[in-house]
Amino acid sequence: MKNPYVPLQVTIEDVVIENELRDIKTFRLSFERDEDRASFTYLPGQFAELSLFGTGESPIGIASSPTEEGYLLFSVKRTGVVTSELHASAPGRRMGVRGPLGRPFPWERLEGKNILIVSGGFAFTTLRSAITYVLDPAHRKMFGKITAVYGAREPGELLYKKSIAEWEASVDIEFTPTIDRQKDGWTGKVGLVPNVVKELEPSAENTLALVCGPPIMIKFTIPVLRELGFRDEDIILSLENRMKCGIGKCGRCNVGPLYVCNDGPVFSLAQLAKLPQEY
Amino acid sequence: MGELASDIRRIAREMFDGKRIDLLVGFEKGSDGYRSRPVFIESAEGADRLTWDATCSQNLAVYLPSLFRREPQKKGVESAPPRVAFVAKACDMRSLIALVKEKQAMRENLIIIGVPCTGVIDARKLEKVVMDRAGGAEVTELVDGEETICVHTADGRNLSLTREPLVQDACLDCQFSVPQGADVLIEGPGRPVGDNSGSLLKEFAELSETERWQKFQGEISRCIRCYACRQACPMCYCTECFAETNNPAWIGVTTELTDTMIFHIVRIFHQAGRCVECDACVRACPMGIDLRPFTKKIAADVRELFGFTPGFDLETPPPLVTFREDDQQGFVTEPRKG
Amino acid sequence: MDKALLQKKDLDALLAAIRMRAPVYAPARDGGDGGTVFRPVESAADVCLGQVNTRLSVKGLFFPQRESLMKFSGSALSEVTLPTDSLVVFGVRPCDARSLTWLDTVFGGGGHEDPYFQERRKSAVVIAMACDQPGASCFCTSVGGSPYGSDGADMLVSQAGADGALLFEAASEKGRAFLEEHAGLFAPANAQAREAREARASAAAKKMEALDLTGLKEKLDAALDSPLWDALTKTCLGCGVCTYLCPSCHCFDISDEKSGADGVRVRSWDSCQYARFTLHASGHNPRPLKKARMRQRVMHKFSYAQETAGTAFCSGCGRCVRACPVNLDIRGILTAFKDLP
Repeated sequence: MKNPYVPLQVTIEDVVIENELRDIKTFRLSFERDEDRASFTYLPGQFAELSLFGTGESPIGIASSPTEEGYLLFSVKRTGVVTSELHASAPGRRMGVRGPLGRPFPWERLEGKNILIVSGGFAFTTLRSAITYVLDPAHRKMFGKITAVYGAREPGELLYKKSIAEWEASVDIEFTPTIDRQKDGWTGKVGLVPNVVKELEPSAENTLALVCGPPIMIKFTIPVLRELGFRDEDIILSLENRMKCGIGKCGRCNVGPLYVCNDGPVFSLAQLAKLPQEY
Repeated sequence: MGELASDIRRIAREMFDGKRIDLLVGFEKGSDGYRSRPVFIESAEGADRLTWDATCSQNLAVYLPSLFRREPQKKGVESAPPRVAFVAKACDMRSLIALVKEKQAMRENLIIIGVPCTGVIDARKLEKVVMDRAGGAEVTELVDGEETICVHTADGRNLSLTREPLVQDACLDCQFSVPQGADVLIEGPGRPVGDNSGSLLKEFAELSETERWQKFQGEISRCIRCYACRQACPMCYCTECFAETNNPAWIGVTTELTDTMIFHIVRIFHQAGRCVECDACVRACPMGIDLRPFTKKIAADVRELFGFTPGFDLETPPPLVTFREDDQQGFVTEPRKG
Repeated sequence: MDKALLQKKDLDALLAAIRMRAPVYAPARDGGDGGTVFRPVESAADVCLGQVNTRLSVKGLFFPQRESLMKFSGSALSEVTLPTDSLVVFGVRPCDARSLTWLDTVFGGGGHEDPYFQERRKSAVVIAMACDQPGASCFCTSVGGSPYGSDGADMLVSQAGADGALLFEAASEKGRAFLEEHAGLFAPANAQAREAREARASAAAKKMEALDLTGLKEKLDAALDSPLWDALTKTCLGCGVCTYLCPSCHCFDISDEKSGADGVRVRSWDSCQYARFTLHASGHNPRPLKKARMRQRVMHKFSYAQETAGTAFCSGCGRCVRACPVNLDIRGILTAFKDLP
């Protein structure tokens, strides 16, 4: 019987500071054993428990796409005990990864559809995975038009700046980064994410929306999407909740009868509307 | 006994009708015929639920801190804190006063309805007697009296039980049975003063250090870290308990014996000068752990070292915030030479 | 064989025979107030079956309060500490035994199997003890249970007569094999014994008032925002006793403990009733209010479990009612919601 509590051994290969505040870092991890790397098959939207023996575990969305072979990327915001310890870690440190956990974005449904990506702040990490995945030449034809709006408070807080530049230049995706208030040196869009989405007026026809962001952004984005004609089943969200086991047993992360770790973290708005708003 | 209950109900109705209070914390009938439970009454109509008898064991002061703990208020438009009446036995009142001294509420926002007490019944002792005498038949009603308690069972039996053997151990040592200085003091008999340097303390004090440690370890090893003792105690109101912080993690969260012992040692020591020996912690413990030798020892030490017992007056400051030049210094040791 | 009679005097011999291969856990005296807990016993004299139920449910033998998951040294795993003991549990009330089947769905389902729980479960023999004298707070018949139920057990034992003879009834293959293995100590159970057993079972069930909880789930699902949640839970202390004593509550925490470079990753019981249970590291708490936490407990047991496991997760053992320091009574809560228009 596979023991779902035992983490797989990985090593930190590289650490990149993503933002000006220096509290978000992207860790590139590689498996120490070939069989572990081979068994860790995942899809964008899933997460893993990052394990630091002696400190604890933290559930973090997988930022890399399965099309990026040989390593995993996790972007981690320094918040509590485990993430602080992780932030204090340098390349070469050995640690653990338990996963992949959770259900990914609904890739069977997404096939053949247009995709609208709406994201803000730190929640963008699994969408990096999704965008990299759909833009991969092997997959691009499977999807229709790809539109993305990604906002942060300031330019310095945007993640994956190099990738953003590539995506802005790409013909395969209409990518619009935005910031809350004008800042010197920024020539891109200025405006809160929901307003920018409203302005761009993406078509809801044959489109699924992937929405990942802070609760306040989600709260104001949903009415905009509904007005554009998106049905609740076509608005896809990714939830966060406090987790421990990550496998639907410790009882901590549930929203109604569904566990965010095992039945989620990806849910449609239609599913969430029926549940107590406890997340 | 029934008069005390109807007095409480009348007073509650008068206070609500006179708009003197927003909330009243008292007791109502509980499950299974032989228990009482705390109840929050918010209107005169609710007053009919109030009851009073020997099964009203909980220390209602436990609710005070959360009733008065409030979110940060916008300056200039602060809402007034609630005006709360508490039905209080003497031990409950001493906890209320101790909490007021620790600024958990303002005295003027409290109305203390003092009820004299002749000792509360230990539910576990009662269950055992009913099991022995009536084969565990269901109790439908308990009628409290001065010397006897009458227990009616579902299968039609009426047991007449002597009251005193059923009284809680804490009450046998009771030093204060009438809540002096209550805003409204209901007339009634109070229990005569017990001997607080009683057998429990004497036995414990006579043990050697090693024996005391073994006794402590033996009791605490049965602890399941449910925190019922802490939650039932009126004086444990920290919003973040040291036992549960993870940064720093002072102790582990499991039943690892060392961690469990430290939790209890620290919790009990944190009660120094604050514990009124009401035994809410002992009643709450689902494992029946006897914390009394330890809680009472701390209280006895504070009496001995600082001449202080948490009482009914608001004036005497608690020992931990008081410095007196004649404070005991026996714990100060000379540094070792050489 | 399916049913057999054991004379009281032979219980010692039976326990001794079992103990040659596995420790026997049974209710034994704990503390000075007459309570019992499951402990390894050496002889029939240690076994205490006179209490309505043990303080702690049988779940602790399969899902311990503290359990080591793995050991580590530095950054590397050094040992996975799977349990290897097999055990025989005697004297489990039907309410506790039934709950084990629900824990099976939790620890064995969801697409992930929990080897720690499964190892203990698969090698254990569970011998239930029927209940002839339910307690005041027992309500198993209100939630589909029975004082003579054998769900989750390998055998059901009941008092066969005034002389203390015990009737053993197999409830699984393991139970039948057990009776075969120890056949020498048993006598066959005749038709009389079986009839008497039926009479006892129905007498025991009648001693409890069965609440009518039909339609409860639908009422609960429609009442998420009801002011009843606040009104009924105002006096809750948030202590966790109900969840710890409950035979089917299974929430747990995972923490690392170390000394120097070496340490252990352990799991321990946790409770949805604690204020910090769902607290995010960011400070956000999805259930900041007590009423939301008690609502979670009731909904989990009587609505969510119904959806995910096909059954409510409450066996009516009554421990939560008896042990709650402020006597919050789940029966009252359920009835209040069931009676909503």
